[in-house]
Amino acid sequence: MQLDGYHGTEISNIEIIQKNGYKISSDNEWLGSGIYFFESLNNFCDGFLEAKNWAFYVKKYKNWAVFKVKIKSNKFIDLVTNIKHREIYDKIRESAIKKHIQSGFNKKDFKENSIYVTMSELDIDFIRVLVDAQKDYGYYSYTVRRPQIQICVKKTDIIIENKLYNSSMEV
Amino acid sequence: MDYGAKELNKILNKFETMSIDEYKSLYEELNSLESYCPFYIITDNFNNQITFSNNARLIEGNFFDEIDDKNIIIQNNDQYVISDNPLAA
Repeated sequence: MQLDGYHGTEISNIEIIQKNGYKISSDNEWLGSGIYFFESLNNFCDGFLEAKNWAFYVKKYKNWAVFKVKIKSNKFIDLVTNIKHREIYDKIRESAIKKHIQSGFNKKDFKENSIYVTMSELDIDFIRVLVDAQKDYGYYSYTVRRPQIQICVKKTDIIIENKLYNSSMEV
Repeated sequence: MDYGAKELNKILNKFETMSIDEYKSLYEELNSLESYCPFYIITDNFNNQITFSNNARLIEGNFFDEIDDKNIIIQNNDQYVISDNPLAA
């Protein structure tokens, strides 16, 4: 499988990333350790925009930059378009929640990243997930308004191309 | 069965055979981490406040642009309350 991903960062990191590539983050992230990218899918979601927003709003980098990469590997978990992977993931979640309750914890305190952190021991190159990043407007909503496709890359050698795509200097 | 499915089955087997003590240890480890969350999980408590019921440390989006960081109050270590909720106006 080959994918394009967008990575948001600060302008001051451009040279380091261009020279040394990416650094794998620690386990304390929602999909486990790795390098995080957003993906575009036709008109469904905009990877560049999500990466830029991540850098600007979440990380609060006024001087943001977005890289575009090509990722290639056959050792992946795809929870976006692979139905079999999603089916097994649902069984994992069911089993993990059961264990959570058996351990005396409340179901509402279950942490889904317990599954992704556990996946860190697998020999996989990336995890691809669909995230509903919608803002809560204070009422119950059943429609997805802000889909994000996120890719957590576990091994840097599957990034076969890395280019600076855009930055606040160019806007 | 493809490669990813086989790997996922290893995780399924791990959770199915995990002891209660092992699970508690994993859960405590996760609780000790600062977790970043890329999306909003908000519960409006109808008290001119918004509570982030997730353990997110930073919350993304335009919404954060509208409020001053000083209004963010840490509650019970894993909940963040924003006073003077601009959405309640």
